[in-house]
Amino acid sequence: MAILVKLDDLLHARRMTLTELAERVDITLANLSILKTGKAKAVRFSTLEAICRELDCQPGELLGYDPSAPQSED
Amino acid sequence: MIGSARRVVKTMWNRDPLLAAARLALGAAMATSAFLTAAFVIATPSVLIMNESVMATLADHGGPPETIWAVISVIALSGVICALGFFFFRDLYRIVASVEDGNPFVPVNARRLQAMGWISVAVHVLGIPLSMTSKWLDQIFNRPHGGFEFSYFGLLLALVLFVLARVFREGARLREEVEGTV
Repeated sequence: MAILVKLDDLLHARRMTLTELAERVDITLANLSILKTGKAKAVRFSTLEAICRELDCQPGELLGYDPSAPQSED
Repeated sequence: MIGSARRVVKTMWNRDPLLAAARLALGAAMATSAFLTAAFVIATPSVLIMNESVMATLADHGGPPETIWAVISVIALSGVICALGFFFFRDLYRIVASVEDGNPFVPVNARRLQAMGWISVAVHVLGIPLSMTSKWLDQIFNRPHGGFEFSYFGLLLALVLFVLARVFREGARLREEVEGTV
């Protein structure tokens, strides 16, 4: 997928674990893991809002676009 | 064996009485249609093998020799319809089971509903020659006609099943989309 999720980098910069973030944003660890590994098909604005709030970042810092990466099927 | 079957039925009943009742009724319908199919499958060659005694019995009741072919076709068509009925009930049973498991919106259920729609059409198409032949036999033997009648309700059922298949296909697509949403 050409959309990159930079959650790992943000977590590393804030010295926060995925489990800790999951507790703070009230999203299951499994779902956050799907997002972190780039396997998610869609992200709810509410999820984005909660992550940005807890990591004190902008959505643009969390997501990126790589035109050279293979496009998703749909 | 019987004890464990009772426990399974009791667990099903506690989870959802309506679905449990539907599964039991459909299980009974499957067993009945399987039994009838087997009976017709055995009866068709049996009539062919014992054609002389069958023809004699038919002649005793005033039936011409060609009535044996009408009898055989009625038995064979009834067998095919019962077999189709078995597959119809089996598909419906599996759909009900998937509802009970909490996962009905899957592509396989859309395919099952479509198959049920085609079975419904096939039963009504096969019902036309069956009805005509049994009517002819009833006229020969001076009996009131009580066989299969063509009904628009059956075709309406097929239409509803085809539409439901589309609904389930769309539901499966939406579910897949939601499953990938974080």
